[in-house]
This record gives sequence, structure tokens and C-alpha cells, in this order.
Amino acid sequence: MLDYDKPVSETVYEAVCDTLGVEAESLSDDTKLVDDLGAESVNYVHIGKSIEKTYDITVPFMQLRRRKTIGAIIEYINELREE
Amino acid sequence: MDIMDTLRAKARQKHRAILFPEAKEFGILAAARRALDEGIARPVLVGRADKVLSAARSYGVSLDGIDIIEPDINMCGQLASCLEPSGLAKFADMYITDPLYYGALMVHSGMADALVAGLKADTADVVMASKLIIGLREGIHTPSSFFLMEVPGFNGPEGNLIAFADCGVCEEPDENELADIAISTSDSVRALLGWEPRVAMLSYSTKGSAESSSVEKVANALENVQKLRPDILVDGELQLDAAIVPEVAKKKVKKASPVAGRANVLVFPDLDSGNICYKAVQRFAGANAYGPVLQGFAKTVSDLSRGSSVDDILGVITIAGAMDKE
Repeated sequence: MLDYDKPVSETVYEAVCDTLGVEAESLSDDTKLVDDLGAESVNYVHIGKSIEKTYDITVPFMQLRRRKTIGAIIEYINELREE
Repeated sequence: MDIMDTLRAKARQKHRAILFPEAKEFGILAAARRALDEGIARPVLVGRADKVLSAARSYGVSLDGIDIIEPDINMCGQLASCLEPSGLAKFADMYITDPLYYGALMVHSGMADALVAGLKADTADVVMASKLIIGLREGIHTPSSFFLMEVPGFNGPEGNLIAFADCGVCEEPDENELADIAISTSDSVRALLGWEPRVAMLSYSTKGSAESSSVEKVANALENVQKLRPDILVDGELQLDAAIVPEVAKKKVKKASPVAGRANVLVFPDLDSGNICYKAVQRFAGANAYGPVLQGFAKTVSDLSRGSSVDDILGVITIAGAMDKE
């Protein structure tokens, strides 16, 4: 499942679709996970784990939980990968 | 004999199997070594054996006599059953390779007695993995934590010891969550220390001396505890002095109370007050604060601070090892 070259946006969109059962076409970077999709903690767990398994990085749950939109999550993961 | 000596003696008697998912970290390896050598626990490390052994070699830590278990893909079905209620079952093959989740599964399945993690993982990650895989105790819906405070000069029913909750996990508990915190802490101090818990639900008001939504929340939480667990000695809402000073309790609490003036468990109304108070007591009174000890799970789960020293980790192992079986 490790795939360092996979674009972060693709990984995040896939994880959001997987865990929340939505179609990627219905999403955008501005989509709010909790307000628009009804995401709960467990959905954030899954998104975090999917990212960790793809890039072999640690994604702190509470930090991820603070990111409200898909775009904010992508930005945060890109920052983490640059560190 | 101080409290840690007492707990060490208890842990040695129990000699519980403690599982560590962060098995490549120096602190974990060194503390596991000492726990085994000092007879405090039977450490079990989770991870790929070659990588764990290589890390141990690089730190000069011998793993002789310490078990290493590798995540086993054949356990996927069991993990999927645990993940079923959360809707994550179909992703079990991803979680099975995560040492934290695999470790939680091993504790859930009885391969070890307790999980100790958090040196790399956030508290929230440890809590979430434990909640999803190990599950919560019957009747409990909220994980929480407590600190065992050793306060110089304090002379309460347990000498200089008193328990504070929740100072580390549950941010803004509602009345049901606050009741859970009281119940869990009551059970924890009984299991760890053998106390007869006397639980004070703290507020800035004593028995209706003030009115506000936060006072009402604490009063409702008290009712919940009394309804759910009539065996627990609990009272509220109480100001801190009415909870721990008999003379103040006599003045402020008119009805007979098994708790007022002699509480040994203090339940704070929210994380702000709990966290501020434990740090204030620690800094101003020179108290030792042991914890946060996680609670509410079906098995023992202990969290580590990311800055933990080997001694700190050994302290956490000791507390996890001294807990009576759930």
C-alpha cells in the first residue's frame, strides 16, 4: 500500500470516499467533512490511517481532526510530508 | 514505603503481561528491559522481529526473555469483527499491520493484560484505537483519565493521596459523560489502590449555593451516578473546600453526606478546571502527579507522554501492572 508518488489529493479523496461512502464527483476541496458529509471521529481515523499507510508518515489524530475541509487536510498532509 | 513502592510490590505479585506497540523506541525497549529485570511485568513487544531486534541492538538493549509478536494477517477476521460497529471492518487488512491496532487486538483477545502506548502516537490515537478494538467497559460510553496526586502536607482519608479526574482526555463533558468519569474513576481507584471511593462532583457551588447551567450539569451528573451505580458513595455539587475539609463541609453541607469533607476522588466539571488544578497542585504544592491513567476501557490501557523518560515509562508500567483485573 506504500506509494510515495501517489498525489496527496488522490489519497485523501479516495479515503474520504471509502470511509463516508460518497462519490468523488460530489466532493471538492471546499467540502466540509463534518458539516457537509456528517463525518465522525472514526472517519477521521480512517482518513489518517490511509494516509499513514500510503506515505509511511505519522498523522496525529487531533491535528487532522482540526482540519475542517478536504482542501485543509490536503494542505496539512503536504506540510507533513515536507517536514 | 511511598505509593510507587506499594504499587511496585503489587505489580510484582500480579506480574501482568504488558504489551508495547511502539517497540522500536529506545524508551520502550529500555523500560521493558527494566520491567522484566525488576519483576514488575512481563513485557511483550509488537512489531517485525528483525526490526525490533535491530533497534534494540543499536541502543545496546538486550531483549533476552522478552517476547516479540509480529502482526499476523491471519488475525484479520478477528480485527474485522472488532471494527464492525465502527463501519471500518472492510479495511481490516490495512489496520492489521498497524502495531497500535494489532496491539489493541492482542489485548482484546487476552494475549496480554494491558496496552502501554503513546511515546510516538498521540493520546487521541491511543484512545481511538483502544475504543475501537478493546472497547469500553459495560455501561461506560466515554473514555477518560485520572491522576493520582501525592500532595505533601495534605492529610485526607488516604493520607497524602487523592485522585483527580478528568485532567487529560474529555474536554467538555456533558452530564452523562461526567457521570461516566465519576464511575470510571471510582472503579479505577478501587482496582488500583483498594480504596473505598468517596467521589465529590466539584463545582463553584455547594448544594445549590449558586445557579447556572454548569452547576445544573454537575447536579444532573450526580443524579446519573446515583441512578446508575447506587453502590458508589458520591455527592455534589461541592466546592473543593467542602469536599476535602471537614470543618468547611460541616458549615456548608447541611444534610448528612458520606463524602463532604472526606472525599478521596475529585471529579472536575471540565478539562480546563481539571487540568489547571492538577498542574496548580503539582507546581504550587510540590505534589507528585501520577498519570494520566486512562480508564473506561474493557482492559487496562495506559498512555505515555511523548517526552517520557525511561523512569516515567517504568512508572506507567508499574501502574498498569498493579491494576486489578477488569
